[in-house]
Amino acid sequence: MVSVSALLASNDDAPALVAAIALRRDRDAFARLFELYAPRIKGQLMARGAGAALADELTQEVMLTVWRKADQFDGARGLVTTWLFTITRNCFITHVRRQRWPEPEPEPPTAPTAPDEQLAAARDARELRQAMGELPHEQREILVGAYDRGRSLSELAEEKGLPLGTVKTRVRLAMARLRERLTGKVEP
Amino acid sequence: MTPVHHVSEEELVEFAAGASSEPAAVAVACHAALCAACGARLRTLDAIGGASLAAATAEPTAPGALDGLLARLDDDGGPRAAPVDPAALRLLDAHAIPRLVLPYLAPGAAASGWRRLVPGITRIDLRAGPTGAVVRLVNLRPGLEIPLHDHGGVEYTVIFAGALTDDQGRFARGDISIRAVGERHVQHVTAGEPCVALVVNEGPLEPLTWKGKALSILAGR
Repeated sequence: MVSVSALLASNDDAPALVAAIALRRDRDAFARLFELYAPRIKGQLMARGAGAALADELTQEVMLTVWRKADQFDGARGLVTTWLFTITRNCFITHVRRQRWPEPEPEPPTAPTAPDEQLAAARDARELRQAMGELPHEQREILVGAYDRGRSLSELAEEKGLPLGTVKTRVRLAMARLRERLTGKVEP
Repeated sequence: MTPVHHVSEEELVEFAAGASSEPAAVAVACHAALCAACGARLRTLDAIGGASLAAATAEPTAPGALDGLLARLDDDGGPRAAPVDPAALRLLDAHAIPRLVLPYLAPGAAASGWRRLVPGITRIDLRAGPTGAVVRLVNLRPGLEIPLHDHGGVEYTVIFAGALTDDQGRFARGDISIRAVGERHVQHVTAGEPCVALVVNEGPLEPLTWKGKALSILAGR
């Protein structure tokens, strides 16, 4: 089991681990990344409704995708956890919901990521996590319901016995607050 | 042209969380592919997913999972790329339709081309669940009027070429129109250029005029 402090420390190492996989097919880096994140990936898959055995199988799929696509990770666009989230989400949709995931087209290739951009992305993510922690409970639980459990807003409204409009308002308020904290840098 | 009609914050959140229906997701993705602002918003929303993953409950993986996976890396030939239908690519590129639509075209659908739905409208059906939703590319004749109708389910329209107008304004390339059940509208195709669009109907259209009802029967609905 990875301790919280090790996990926090690892956030800064994670891009280097992914780069080592991309550049050198570094199996030790891959094993380290697995130890750091596979349990969280499995946890999120189970929160979305996969049983333990299926979640294990899908976690392997996610990590195999990491191995194959390590060269597509771009530190300027976000943290490793963000990248892992998108792979996990897409894997769940493909294998459990039996749907295809429509990836909005990637933008034209940009120049290699400058280290300061990576730092900026990491700082934003840390601020984002902190800001999420500070959201009022009723706003946070909607975001958690959507992102952790993959529930639609109408499903969440039904669960909580709330009008859909109220749930939508909470999402808007939450996003306005988060955006405020993110200093408009990630938002044009 | 920068799109002026966007996806709401709530619907972007649903999409990023992976909670949209497949037809809705296709429409949102098509808009985001053509709208830099919504594309950037989605990246922020993915970061919320990253934060949620970092905070997810850690479930111990099955014993030997890592060793089994490391063994698989050796003979991993990478994902098998699906063969791409050149006719499908030509069709999408001819109308500057985002290529994310590609996997939703049935085999051979692009080769058979635009097929008549009703006078003034040709279409190519797309495959996206759940059943009951109609997802298609439509090609609308310049100047066409789509008579007053209501919607039995949410309607998503993303414009790729030409323009449509209704009571909410003018919708041109990249714009998305999202109309809920009970929102009635008449749509006009701007003169001079055919309008090519993605249309998703999560429920049946409910025509409210005799002309519309006749067209609906012609369309086999």
